[in-house]
Amino acid sequence: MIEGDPAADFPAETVGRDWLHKDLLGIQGLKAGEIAHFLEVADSYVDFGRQSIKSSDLLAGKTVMNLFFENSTRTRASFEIAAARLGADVVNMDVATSSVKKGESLLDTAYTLEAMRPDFIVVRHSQAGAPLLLARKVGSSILNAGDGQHEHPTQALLDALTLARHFGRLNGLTVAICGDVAHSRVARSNLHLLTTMGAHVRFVGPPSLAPKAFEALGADVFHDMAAGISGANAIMMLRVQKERMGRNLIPSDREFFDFFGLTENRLKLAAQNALVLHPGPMNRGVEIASEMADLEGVAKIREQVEMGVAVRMAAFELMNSARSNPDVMKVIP
Amino acid sequence: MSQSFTIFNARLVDPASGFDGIAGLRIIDGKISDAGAHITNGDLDAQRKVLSPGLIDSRVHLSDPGATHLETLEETLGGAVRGGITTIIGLPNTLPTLDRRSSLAYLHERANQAGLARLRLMGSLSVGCEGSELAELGRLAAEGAVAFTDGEIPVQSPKLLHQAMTYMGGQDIPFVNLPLDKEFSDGLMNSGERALLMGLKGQSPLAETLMLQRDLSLAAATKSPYVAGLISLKSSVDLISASKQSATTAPHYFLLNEQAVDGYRTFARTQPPLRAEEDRVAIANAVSAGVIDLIASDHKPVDEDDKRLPFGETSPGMVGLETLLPLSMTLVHRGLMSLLDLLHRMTVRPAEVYGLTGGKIVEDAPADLILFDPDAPVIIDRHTLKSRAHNTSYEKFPAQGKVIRTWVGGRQVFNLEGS
Repeated sequence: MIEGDPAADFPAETVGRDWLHKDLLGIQGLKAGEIAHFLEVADSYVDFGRQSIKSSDLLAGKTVMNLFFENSTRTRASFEIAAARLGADVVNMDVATSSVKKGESLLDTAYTLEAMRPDFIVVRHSQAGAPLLLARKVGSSILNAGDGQHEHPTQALLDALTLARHFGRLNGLTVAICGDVAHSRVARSNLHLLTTMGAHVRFVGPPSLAPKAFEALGADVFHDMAAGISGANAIMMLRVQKERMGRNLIPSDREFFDFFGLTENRLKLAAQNALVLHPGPMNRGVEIASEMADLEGVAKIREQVEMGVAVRMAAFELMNSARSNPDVMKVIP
Repeated sequence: MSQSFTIFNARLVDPASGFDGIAGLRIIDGKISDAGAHITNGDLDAQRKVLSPGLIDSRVHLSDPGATHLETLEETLGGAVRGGITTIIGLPNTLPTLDRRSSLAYLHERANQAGLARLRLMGSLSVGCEGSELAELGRLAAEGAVAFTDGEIPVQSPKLLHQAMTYMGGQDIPFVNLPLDKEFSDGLMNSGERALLMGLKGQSPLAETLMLQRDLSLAAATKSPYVAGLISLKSSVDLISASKQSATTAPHYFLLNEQAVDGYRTFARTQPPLRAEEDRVAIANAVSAGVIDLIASDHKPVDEDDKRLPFGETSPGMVGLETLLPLSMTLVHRGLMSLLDLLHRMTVRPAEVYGLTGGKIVEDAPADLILFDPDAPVIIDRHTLKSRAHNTSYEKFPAQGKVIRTWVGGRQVFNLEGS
């Protein structure tokens, strides 16, 4: 899918082909070669998912625990389907009604669950750094399904897979990420991934949602939508959360749409054959005009969801092989 | 029969007089009776180590009463003397808060019985430190309160602070406030690119400077003595410099910067948060220049269980009594200031600001003294701290300065050799 070797553009020392991480906590720190390898593995699972019989026994006898401290339907389902297709036993912990509500600390919950010997714990938590805290203390592989405003690595990987399958490359692409960048873990993970792979990232939004300080991290920041999406190969619209408006970061949803909503006229400013992506769930009419969300061949929003399962299958495969590597596992406390 | 004890061959450092030289010192009945180069023999050969007034730590969080699982008052006072601190000034954020006379009297009595470091207290400015109703400031002053403050809770209402200052007008008791605007101070770490990278809500410098400006205006309007409880920013240094008011900082603001929280290290979560490198440098320079006239530990025990949580759910704070001197000595060893000037910020200056008699070597002053080796290397490691709480961010931090002996009122309350 990716022409040539996407890692070939990078100095040799940054290229790592073997996956040597027990956990997938974030994109930051991953090498270009590792990401390219990950995407190749994920790509191989796309066709697998389109077969009528979608089962493998790669993870037979392994246990995957879904530990979601924040509400999630689609991400949790995606991880669950990915694990099930690889033959793992999947347990969904209903944290919202469990001992956590009774005041148990995150680590105590983790130690308890660890005693049941899961191989993988998929965790989503409202606090940045929570998966790292777990990964330091438990032997299970931790897969970060979103931590606060920090990272959401599988989302960035599925976005990259969607782009790479369409364009045949990531290197040299310009991707405009628009909307509430400041509060978005998706934007951060995408920034790390895309810049590592040689793409240009633009953050587009009002200064309250797309602060200039992001430029120190490698993004070009635009406060004007037309300038920000001009010539972009892909436009990634982020959800504007209703509660942001209550906190005066923007005055109203219609004002936001007037200045930063993705409309047909604005889309014309992007490069030819530009794609529209959205991590979901969408607010039609707030950040994206309804018809833009359904534009055949342009909007890849449902394809992203499909790629999500493939990426999570790849994550399980790679983490599983790392777990059989004694060099990876010996650092575990 | 009077008791006499003479220390000789010491490097006597007395910031009040500016003396720094080889000398001896005689203690009679718990008081300094004589000091100078003419004393050349006696009971203890100090071997040219530094003999100075004991430190006055002007910002200490007390856990007793109310949170004795963290530290009892006796443990706090014991930690102090191990750190060369002969007087601590406690904040009123105990449970109950120090908003009534009896609460102060109770702690004073406990401290007297403990016979370790001296205890002085700041009284609550508002009832329960809740920021709405004025505490009985006059009665608290009569019981020996050295300042009024809501301690770790910033006074949000400008009206209340103005009323307190107006009511106490004409008296020399300072008002201490931690300048942090509530609406701006909900961030978890310094705002900026590192906060963006870590996905943690950043605390804008405006949280500190907006309230500091307000406080300085109120103090000027009412002609009240004011002390900025803690400052962490270059912009705050500029404000303090222009106002000529007092300001406190703690070692972490001149030794550490926001990078200390990398990896979500919860032990480095403080309030105000650790700031940018340029702020750290500005704070160090301001301490050196005397614009920041007070160095205090901001000692705050936090339960380790409260630090083993996701970063955003932890309590801010670090312990600091045992590390105050070696950490602060870094400024001397890095060539930023003289030992005399450094000790000034922790002895005679807090004594002046808070109206205490100690902090200097004069005849008839209580013999609150320390003997320390300014050059002895120490690796600060939370596991070697003797305090019950170990929440310090200085893991394997190399410093120099070791307290050898501590005397309070002429009585030896700490000896490194254990005798």
